[in-house]
Amino acid sequence: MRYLLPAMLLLLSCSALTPAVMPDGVAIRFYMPEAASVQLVGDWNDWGGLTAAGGMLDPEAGAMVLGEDGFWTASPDLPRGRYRYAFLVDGRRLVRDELNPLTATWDGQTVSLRVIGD
Amino acid sequence: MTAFGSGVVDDGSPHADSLLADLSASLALTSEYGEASATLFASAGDTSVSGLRSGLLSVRWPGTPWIGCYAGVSRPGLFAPGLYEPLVDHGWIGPDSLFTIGLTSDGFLGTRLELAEYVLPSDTVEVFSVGSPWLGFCAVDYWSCSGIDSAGLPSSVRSLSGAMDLRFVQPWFVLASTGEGSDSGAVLVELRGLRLPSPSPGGRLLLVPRASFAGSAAEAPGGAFQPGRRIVGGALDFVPEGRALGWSVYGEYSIDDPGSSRGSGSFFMISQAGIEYAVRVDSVGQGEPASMLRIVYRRSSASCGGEASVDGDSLRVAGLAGYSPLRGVSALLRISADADDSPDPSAELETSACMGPVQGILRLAREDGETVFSITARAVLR
Repeated sequence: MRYLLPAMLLLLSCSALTPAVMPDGVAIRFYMPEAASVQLVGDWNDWGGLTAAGGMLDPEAGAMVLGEDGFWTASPDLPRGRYRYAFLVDGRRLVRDELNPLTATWDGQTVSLRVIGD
Repeated sequence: MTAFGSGVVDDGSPHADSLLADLSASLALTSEYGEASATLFASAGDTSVSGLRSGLLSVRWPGTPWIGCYAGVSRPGLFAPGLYEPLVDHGWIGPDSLFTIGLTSDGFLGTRLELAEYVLPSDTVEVFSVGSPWLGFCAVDYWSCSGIDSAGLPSSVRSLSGAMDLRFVQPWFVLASTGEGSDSGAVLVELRGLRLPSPSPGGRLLLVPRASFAGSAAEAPGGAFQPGRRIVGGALDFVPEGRALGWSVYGEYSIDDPGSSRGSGSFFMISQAGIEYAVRVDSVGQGEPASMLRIVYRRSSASCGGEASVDGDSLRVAGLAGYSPLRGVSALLRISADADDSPDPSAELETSACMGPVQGILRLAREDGETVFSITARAVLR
């Protein structure tokens, strides 16, 4: 018993400080299993409709799919170029992709920048 | 359709102080020869208005998709990219009463040319753009805009931007001019693709030198550069490949104003145990540094964690909790306070329900001694 607690702590610290594996390197992924919905919005889809002529957010624009591992995934088919994007969580919060060091500005907010063909 | 309401909760019952309902309907006809679309709207709030929100008529040359023209109202546009912050961003000119006519041509290697005339209540803005997404070793975009007379905005903006692939290094650049004088120009350059030995598996380590030079009369409505500043700097980026781990360190030195030099760093990781670690540190010249630390444990459909943010000598701590009882339904609770003599506590509960084209959001918050609420519902039906 005196070794059980240190062993558990060691096990917990290993899994707690080892980065999770993301097998698909092409798809854009976002980890938030408790979200009701996550949309991938960016320059290519008029930011979910916000910058389109109608100016209304489309709840289905760029809808991401939640996997069993808790990652939301989307694979937009985009031609070569530079695109700004962000995750729209629950139709309200705009969150940048923290796993992407490239950032840009959209509407005064820090968002992410993806280079297709880099 | 969007409906929004907000108000305060007083004596245990809600009192609405703002209500807005917005209903719009769009009709679009498309064919190989062109497109016609119209969006009509009716909005009821403090005042009720209705009418045409947007419309577009575009025609393509019969037999070829290369040449076309269009006319529209409330057509968005006027965006010129910089390297990071845009030269000109959306919102520079509002879409109200905006009428646009234009000519377009798509052709060799995807090159696209567009000439547009934006008719505003007080100005007529001419925009010409030509761009090629990839010419074998480089991508180039040219953008020019002239005719602005509104106060506080440059009368013209011209930019040539591009990215080259020279195998071992990929230069990105922007040459911009926001006036007629020699001191109204700006240059932004970044060298990408310089790869260093990676300190850990699962990613690439990149060294990214940057420089920007801007004349004293140069203006960027999108904030792409600082007028009258020569800045050199660089970033060290760890770009993940297959692992949920990334970090970046950035520093820049202002030759003309060393006091405004800045540095920043960030680290982000999602562990195999489902714990999210996020650290961000930002320091601007002689100013107060800002930093943030967030740790959130996420598993299955629940999350809990905390966040501490320092802004100068002020420390604010927050507790976070989230739960999703059903697919498409979630609740998020955030409680925060300053860690000093006047804690200024606040609490926010947000619940969301999302089912396909329908979304509903209820927000309840306790801030500044009163309880406020807001309800948002939106739906797009096709």
